Amino acid sequence: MATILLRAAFAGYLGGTLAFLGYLATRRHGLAKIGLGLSVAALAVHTASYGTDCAVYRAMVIVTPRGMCSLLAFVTAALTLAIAARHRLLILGAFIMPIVAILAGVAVAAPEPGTPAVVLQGPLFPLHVWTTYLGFAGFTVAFGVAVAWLVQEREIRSRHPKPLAFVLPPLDTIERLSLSLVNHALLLTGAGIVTGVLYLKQTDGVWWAWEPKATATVACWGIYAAVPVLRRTAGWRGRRLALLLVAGFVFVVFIFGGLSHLPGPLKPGPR
Amino acid sequence: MGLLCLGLSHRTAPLAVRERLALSRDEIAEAAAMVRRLSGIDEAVVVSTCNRIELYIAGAGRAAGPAEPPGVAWRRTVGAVVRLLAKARRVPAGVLARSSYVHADLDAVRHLIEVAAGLDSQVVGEAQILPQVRRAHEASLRAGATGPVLNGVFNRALAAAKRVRTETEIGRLPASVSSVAVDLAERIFGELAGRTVLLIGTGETAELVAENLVGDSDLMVLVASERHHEAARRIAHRFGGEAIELAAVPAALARVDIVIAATAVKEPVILRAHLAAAMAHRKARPIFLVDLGVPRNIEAGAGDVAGVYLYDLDDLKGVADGNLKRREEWIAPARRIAEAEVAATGAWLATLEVVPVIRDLERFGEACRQAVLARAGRRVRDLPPETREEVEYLTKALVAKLLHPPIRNLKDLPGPGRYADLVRRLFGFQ
Repeated sequence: MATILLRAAFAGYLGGTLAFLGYLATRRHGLAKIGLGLSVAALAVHTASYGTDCAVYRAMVIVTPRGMCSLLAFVTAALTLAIAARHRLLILGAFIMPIVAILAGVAVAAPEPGTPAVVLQGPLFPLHVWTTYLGFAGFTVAFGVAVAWLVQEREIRSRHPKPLAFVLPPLDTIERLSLSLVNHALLLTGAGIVTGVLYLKQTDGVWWAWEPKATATVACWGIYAAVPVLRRTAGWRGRRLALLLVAGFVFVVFIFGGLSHLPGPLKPGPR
Repeated sequence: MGLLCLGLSHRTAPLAVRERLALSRDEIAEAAAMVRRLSGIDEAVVVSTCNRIELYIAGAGRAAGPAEPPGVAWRRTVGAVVRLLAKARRVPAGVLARSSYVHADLDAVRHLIEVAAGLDSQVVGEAQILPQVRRAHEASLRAGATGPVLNGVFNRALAAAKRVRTETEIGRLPASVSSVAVDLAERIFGELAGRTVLLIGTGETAELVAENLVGDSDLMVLVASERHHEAARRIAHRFGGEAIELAAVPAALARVDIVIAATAVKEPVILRAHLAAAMAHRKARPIFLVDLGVPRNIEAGAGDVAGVYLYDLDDLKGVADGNLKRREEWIAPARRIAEAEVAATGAWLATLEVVPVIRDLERFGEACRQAVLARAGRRVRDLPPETREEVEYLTKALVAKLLHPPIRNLKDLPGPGRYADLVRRLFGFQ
């Protein structure tokens, strides 16, 4: 049942993506509304798939390629829709929902889990998972926002801006939004790393195991931590900042694409 | 109740006629009240802009006798309004009649929506017309010249115009040089409040762009001029800023966000090197330069510096012309939206028409009930109070039950006006 619901959610995300891209191309407001409606529906179905997971396994399946991509798609979609609604920036859907659709597509294509490798139990492990994933979702949305900045900047710099330039948000607004996203995501991912370390100590008795995913996550955090630091110390803004966010996202892709098949250091805790 | 629009615009009347008829904000309320006092007119709204003056009126028309068809009554009303206007504004009535147009009922609704949405404007999709129509309606409302019909029609037309502007790009894309400059500044900086603008030159062009740019924003304005320092001081004073020497411009680049250059000079005032030096101090804070000067006031290569956005007159004109063409492409979708809103307003107007008939039906039912109870005389009066209350309740329920289907069908059937007339005849209502 969970698989069927996940497929339905993927279809919804894909439909939402196409509608948002249509809005980007034609700037017909109706398409943005359709994109929003389809994405919200997909998110609801995705939530239901987690409900089914919980009913079957009494846990959310997360530490498999399918689980990781599905959860990142879920959290990113929720964050994107919340930001789009709050800031009235539906156009951002065209830059972020394609990533959500790809993540959901990878989750659908990945093999189904037998029994969950890791279950959310105890206070520390769920905290670790949610903070880390919310942080990664923040980085993912910041990537989409940075791409929107690069597109808008290119349009304005061209001296012959197409109508798209008058629909995309102002450069200053996009930059502020991306910085706010990175700052919040840094806090959340930082909290995720700390809780992960504490959980490892609790289950394995060691603070650090040099496991590839955890190590890559710390490196990724370091890249994003450079964003506020370079902005304050070296006055990095605009294009440089946007490119740094794009580079940081390459690391996120590496963690979720290249390392997701590797087993993590975290084992199920005592039931 | 009929609805009529009588007006003239840039399409039908030359400027010489339009300017004689143009009314100020205060005068439109007075004019609406004056028109409202004419026989056969129940409600009136006057819309006056530099490109049009229109009267929207609702009423039965000025009929000479009860059997006169509505069309004839309206023709007489139009004639009376034209004579009134001609006398008040000292324009020959013949000229007014030749330059004006009349739209009746749904055509009037359609015209109002198109006007409010900017579809009938000289520059398609212009933004000023929507608040002007809103203000015209508000003025008539305050003057007591409007009523339920025109209030409903205007509110619906304003909502329809907003829908057109939201769902199409008819008004989204700036279509004049100054509006493109302002919009681009907003695309770079977002909110313009708190930004600093440097005006180079004291000519009309620079002042006009500054006027558009400042609007309601809290902008700091610096004005630089080589020869006309007094004029620079005057403009700076007008915008609450300060005047500086032309030689101080390169140094000022480090602290301003927007530069409008429109002065007559042989050599550029701002060089690439000036901007490169300024950007080092600005910590990559962007700067937007608009060069309206011919010959150019800013070195062409200056736009290559990172964080510098430079537009000259040709760039802005190219964007404005392109946007104007794109606005025209949106006319057909905008008209489709307008048509849907005309149909919805038409349906609402039709239900409005049956309201008096429904009230008559209810009064008729109540009168019948009272008559029957009166005829029953003592048989009802002598009943115990509880039973009398019961009889009252039952008779009221019976009348309501009987009237429910015709009232519901009057509201729901297509063309309710036709049925309203039938009910009037069947029940002998006036």
